[in-house]
Amino acid sequence: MNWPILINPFNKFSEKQLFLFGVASTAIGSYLASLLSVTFDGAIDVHLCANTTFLQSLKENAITILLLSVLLYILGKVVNAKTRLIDIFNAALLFRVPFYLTSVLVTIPALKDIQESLVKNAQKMTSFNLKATDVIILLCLSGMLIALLIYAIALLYNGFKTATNIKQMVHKVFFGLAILAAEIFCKIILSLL
Amino acid sequence: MKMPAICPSCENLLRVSQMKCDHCHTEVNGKYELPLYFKLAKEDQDFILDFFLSSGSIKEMAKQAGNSYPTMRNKMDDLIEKINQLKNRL
Repeated sequence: MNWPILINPFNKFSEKQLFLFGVASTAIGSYLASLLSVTFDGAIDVHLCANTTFLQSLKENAITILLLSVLLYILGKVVNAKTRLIDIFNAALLFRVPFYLTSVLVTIPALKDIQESLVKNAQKMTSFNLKATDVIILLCLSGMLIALLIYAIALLYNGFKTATNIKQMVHKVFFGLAILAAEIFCKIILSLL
Repeated sequence: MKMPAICPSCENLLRVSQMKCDHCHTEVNGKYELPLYFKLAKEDQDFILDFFLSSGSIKEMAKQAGNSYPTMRNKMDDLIEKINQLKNRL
């Protein structure tokens, strides 16, 4: 496994290759979300939602990608005038890929069974009688979901770093703030649509 | 053999103090500054040479090195920064 390429594909691949991969992943990710009834209602959100359509999922992903691209492009231009929109856009496209994988993880049948058992116990107001295997499944899934979130942010950071050549800590802090801003604006825009 | 530009003892820049003609063995002693290009690391010298040989096209260099365009442009920007710092130290 070539880890450096997986963590920072922006060093090796051309903008055209990254763009095509990103667009194809967005289409496949949106299709998966419609199949698995998952909604991406925020820049870093994945939730279960019945009756999600392909177009709705595509719209959610497009808004997240465009918002992140605009915010990071403005920041990138301030940091380095040579920043190109295509490099930032590709970073935003690839940032979404781990979320498409997350949609598969949150819909595995074992998790649904555990969720149903928890809801039943909660309604009865009894203690949560989780089996040891359920706890192991929950811990493993949580670990994988956290790892995917970290991977997504690492991809976005590496893409932004490659596009802008940032080195100063203050720029990294602004990068973090841009993600938070994207999450807030995304939530607002998606709730309005 | 690579010509050293940095003193291995104190890490300051080295100067040329002697040159010799291989044909008549005349020796010239003095205190000459190394040209800026020679003060750079071998890797940086190669980068500049590659840039020149690819007619000043970063895109072409990126293609030949198997890297992306922004990666190559960042390398170039870092090298420009390094050269500016070297020039200011003179």
